[in-house]
Amino acid sequence: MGLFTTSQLSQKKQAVKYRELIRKEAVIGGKIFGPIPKNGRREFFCLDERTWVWHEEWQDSAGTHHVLTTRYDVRPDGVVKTQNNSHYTKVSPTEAHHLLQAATLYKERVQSQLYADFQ
Amino acid sequence: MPLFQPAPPSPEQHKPASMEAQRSARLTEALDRLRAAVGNMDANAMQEGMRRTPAPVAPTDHHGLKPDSVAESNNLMKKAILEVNKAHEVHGAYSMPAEVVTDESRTFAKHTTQQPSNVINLPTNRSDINQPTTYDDSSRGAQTAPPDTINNFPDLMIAANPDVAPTHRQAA
Repeated sequence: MGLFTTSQLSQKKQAVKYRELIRKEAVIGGKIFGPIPKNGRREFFCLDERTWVWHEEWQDSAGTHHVLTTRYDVRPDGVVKTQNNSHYTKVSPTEAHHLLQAATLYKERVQSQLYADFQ
Repeated sequence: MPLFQPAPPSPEQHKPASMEAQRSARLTEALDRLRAAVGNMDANAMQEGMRRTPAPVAPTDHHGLKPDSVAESNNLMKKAILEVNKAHEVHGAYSMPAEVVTDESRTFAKHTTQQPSNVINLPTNRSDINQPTTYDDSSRGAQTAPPDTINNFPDLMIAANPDVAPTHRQAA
């Protein structure tokens, strides 16, 4: 007798597939902001209906590795963000418009490259 | 044998939406929400801007006074001074030239002129403007993720937010 029921195994499999899809989306999303610097890493993706994430890793001139994760929470009356899990701040209108542009481009590319057959 | 038989249900009709289709629908909803939020931000900013812009007022002189109010104030003050001077002359006291005091009357009028009622003076020390918004996010676990493990991204984000995991959504 196995440790997991069929339902649990199915859910686990779905969760793995879901993460795999997000990982693929994040790679596509990372390319919409232009070339990624050498020794850098960039990911941008939609985590859920109200959360967008931008993850950036880079090295400065002294060779120090930096990591910055910006998480945007969409609320009915605006957008707030947190960086590296610090406190939340309101997003300026300019930044919100940039985010909307990026998200629009992201959806277009992800839909055409990943989900064209599933619409 | 009947001529027309209902077609057997195709397997596609009973198949639950694929993960890709679910994800695609979720993206659409996320973008719609973001678009609505940005639209609301713009609308609020526009309202705020209108509230802070004072309504247009009649042209004023270099003292900030309307021509009518200056003339009226000057006339009243002149009249009052002339009356006072006349009284002083009667009693032999020093009489003040009315023209010199005209500027005083304008200054006095300037300080006493009230603002139009439709101008709202916002306090300059409002502490709730442009301050970071904080709220308790502990229920989502976002604050508990140690910064040094953020490299396991995006798995960590999903693990730190159990409410967005697919299994949880389906259960809900």
